[in-house]
Amino acid sequence: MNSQGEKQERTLIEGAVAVGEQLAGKYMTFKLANEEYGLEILKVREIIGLMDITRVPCTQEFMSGVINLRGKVIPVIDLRLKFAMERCQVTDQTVIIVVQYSLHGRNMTMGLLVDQVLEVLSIEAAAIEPPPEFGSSTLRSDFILGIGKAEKRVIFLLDIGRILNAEEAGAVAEATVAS
Amino acid sequence: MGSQPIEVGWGARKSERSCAIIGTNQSAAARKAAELYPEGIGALMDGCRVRLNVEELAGAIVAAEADDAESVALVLRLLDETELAAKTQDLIEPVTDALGDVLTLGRALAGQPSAADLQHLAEAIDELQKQLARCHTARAASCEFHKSVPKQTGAAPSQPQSLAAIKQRDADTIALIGEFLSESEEGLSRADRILMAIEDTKASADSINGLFRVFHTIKGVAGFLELFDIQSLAHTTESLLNGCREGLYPLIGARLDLVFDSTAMMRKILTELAVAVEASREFRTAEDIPTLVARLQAALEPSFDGGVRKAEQRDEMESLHEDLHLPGPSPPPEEALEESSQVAADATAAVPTANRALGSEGGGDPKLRATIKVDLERVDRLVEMIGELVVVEAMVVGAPEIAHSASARVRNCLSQLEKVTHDLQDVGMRMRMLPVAGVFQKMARMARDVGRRAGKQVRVVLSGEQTEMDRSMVEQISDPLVHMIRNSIDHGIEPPDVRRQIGKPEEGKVRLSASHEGGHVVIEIADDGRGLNREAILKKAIAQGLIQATDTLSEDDINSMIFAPGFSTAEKVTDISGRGVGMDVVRRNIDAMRGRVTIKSVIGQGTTFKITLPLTLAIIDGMLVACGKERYIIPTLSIIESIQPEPAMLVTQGANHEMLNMRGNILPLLRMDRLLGAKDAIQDPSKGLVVIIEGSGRRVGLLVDEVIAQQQVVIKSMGEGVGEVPFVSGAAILSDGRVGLIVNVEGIVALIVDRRHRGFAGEGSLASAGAASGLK
Repeated sequence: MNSQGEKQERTLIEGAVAVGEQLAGKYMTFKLANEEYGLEILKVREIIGLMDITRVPCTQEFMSGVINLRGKVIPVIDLRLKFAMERCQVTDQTVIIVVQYSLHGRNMTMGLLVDQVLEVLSIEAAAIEPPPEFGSSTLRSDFILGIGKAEKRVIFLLDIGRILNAEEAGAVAEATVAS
Repeated sequence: MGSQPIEVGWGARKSERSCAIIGTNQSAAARKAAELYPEGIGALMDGCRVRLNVEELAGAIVAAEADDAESVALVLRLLDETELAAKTQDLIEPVTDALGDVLTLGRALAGQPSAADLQHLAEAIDELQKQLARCHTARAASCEFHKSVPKQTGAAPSQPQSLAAIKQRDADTIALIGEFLSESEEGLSRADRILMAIEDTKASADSINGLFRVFHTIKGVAGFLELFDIQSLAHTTESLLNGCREGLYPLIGARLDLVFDSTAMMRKILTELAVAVEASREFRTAEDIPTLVARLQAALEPSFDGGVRKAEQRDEMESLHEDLHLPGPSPPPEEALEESSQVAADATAAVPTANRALGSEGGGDPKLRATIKVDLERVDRLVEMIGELVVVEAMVVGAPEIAHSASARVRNCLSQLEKVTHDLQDVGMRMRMLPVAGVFQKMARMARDVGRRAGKQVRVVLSGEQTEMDRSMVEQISDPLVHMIRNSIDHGIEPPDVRRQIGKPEEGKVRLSASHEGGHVVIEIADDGRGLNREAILKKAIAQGLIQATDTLSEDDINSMIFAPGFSTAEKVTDISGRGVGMDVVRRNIDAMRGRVTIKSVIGQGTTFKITLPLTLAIIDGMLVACGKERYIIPTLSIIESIQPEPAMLVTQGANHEMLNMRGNILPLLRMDRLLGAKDAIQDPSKGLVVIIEGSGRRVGLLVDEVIAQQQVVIKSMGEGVGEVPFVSGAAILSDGRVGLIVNVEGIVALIVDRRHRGFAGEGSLASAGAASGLK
């Protein structure tokens, strides 16, 4: 291995460590089919059982509809459909994770429909790798912050602010109805 | 939704600042100023000496009594001291003005003071204190101001340096300007009210003083904010009023008009200032100010005697006011008042004869109530939470476990809970409500101006100004009212000579009234003019291709033609109206508020516009309908009726065009399940229910499974992330805790209009014609 190759590898490793340091912390993990995902614990507001979801016409398929969260109407996104997976069968494990984050200065609250909530996991910097490059621009992967490793499991750490893409977020800006 | 304070939209405002500005905490403000600006402390301390003197003086004047020579002597001594203290330092103009007033009044005391004299002096001192307090807070607030022009703050009010000065303004000064704008706006509204009252009856000492105070305050604040154009305008107007106050000439005719013009101009400048500050760009004042100032100056010229007031002159004032309706002692110079003197002649002729009573209120100030300013967001949040409480309450009361409880005590408690929550909801809703009086006053003022310009005599009668509406709606209703009143005056009311010929009183009448009617607010604009000319409307509509000559239209339908965009039967466009834009705006604004507007018109007798609006934008009265497994809410105000159609009433054309034959009128029929994608809905219209809805003057039938209940719902946003949804205007929480979607009637009706085939232009009007007569 020549010196240039070594250098490249070192920068890669340094990069990985930098990503790890930024992302190290507590994550709430959940399951979609056989995959595990993690959400920054600070963005998770609560977990609620599945309730009646009112479908909203003319919206994309992954938008399950809206629910009444103690008087506030919030949208619910079916993460399986968002990630182009098969629609799941509702079980008693199915829950809605309510997340809250701010996007362009607006506070967003929404529900994520997931198969099952697992645990709160502390992931160290060393156990986090930068997101994979898929090479193709047709596949969006920018909502993946990094990949965490715990024992033999692989956990995709999600950037909740990017799950909705630019156009969807743009629609958000106009979403406010008379209040 | 931003965190706006309710009354002023100036985000930068700090509460301590506004407290200081009101001047309740003067010494604290002075202390603070001294802390902040050690280098300028000398100047500030000097100012303080005058203020201490004045404070003492204020104390003495309260204690003084006209027949107590000793107390009067004390007041005089303190006056001398104040004068002395004032000479040792530079005071800005509004302060010296106020001080001058005080001293002149004080000298008048030297002879035999009356109780009224003391009262006047007390008022003047009060004003002086206010000016001093303002001066101080301004100095303290504007560091730049103070450093750049030390000890000479207002030395050269005539210098046109406002542009440079504006540039330097820091956030504090901007906050001050914000205060100034809102205060001035209030002041100008008060001035308008007084002016209207003066025009109707005659000027009294009280009303002139009231006007004087408004301009005086504006002048003072504008002075140290370095808004010299405003200052000079206010100053000249004030001088004119001062003449009236001293009884040199009455405030009628041309002079009254000048004061009217002055308030209008002032408003204009203030609006421009607000825009300039908000966009943080340079503020340029209007060019026509000098012209108006010159006119004002000309008006005070003939009897202007240098302004020193004599005690006996004031005694005469009372008697002069008795005769105020007579023409002034000396006419204003012709060249300056050329155009307005014509109007003045009209006005002086009209005032004594016509009873121009301004409806219920007249000139008196409405009774003052203690109010507080609360962040709008907090109020909204409270109202929202009350809404939630109401829903939860309904869920508790409706829960089968509790509803079927045999215990009388539980049932009693529940009914008590129900009552309290509904009272709470009522109170919550009222928090956002404002009386329409403010808007109505503005309309009365505008009607007067428009009438003048159109060469018509118009009397505006207001009623029900205390009717309350949601604050945001009060703002939104203003535009439509302007257009409708302009129309009434320009097109409705005939010119005086025509009116005389047809035996109507020369003076036209526009009645503006507001009232509550079954959970809605109803606003009516009625004129006694010529009424809508249906022939002309029909002709024009055919010419514009809106309808076809063969169409048979109902009266209502023809009337509502005037709401079409670009529609105008006016032969020529005037500066008041005629472009055909106005009524389109009216329709759109009212639709946006989920309201309705209807027209009644009798040829030769007048036209009445009736606007029906919901009480608030946050809560609507809705009809809960079922469609398959889904529940939707249709705003009750948009619903005309609902019927269960007979199979014979259904008409189809091809596969996709369904229509409903309602008593001989054809309505397009839409299926809710197809529009909103509901599943398992009833497909056979004769087994379901058709709800006839109206939006933008068009009606359609909407097929649903059944109507479940009528209920009030709190409108909620669909939540961030959902985006625009066609045919849905919002969400609401139903009594079972689920989310129901509110149907966007406008959107559905717009769909029909979009679909309408060009060659079949009659369809829409046919449809609405049918529905219109179906209503009866």
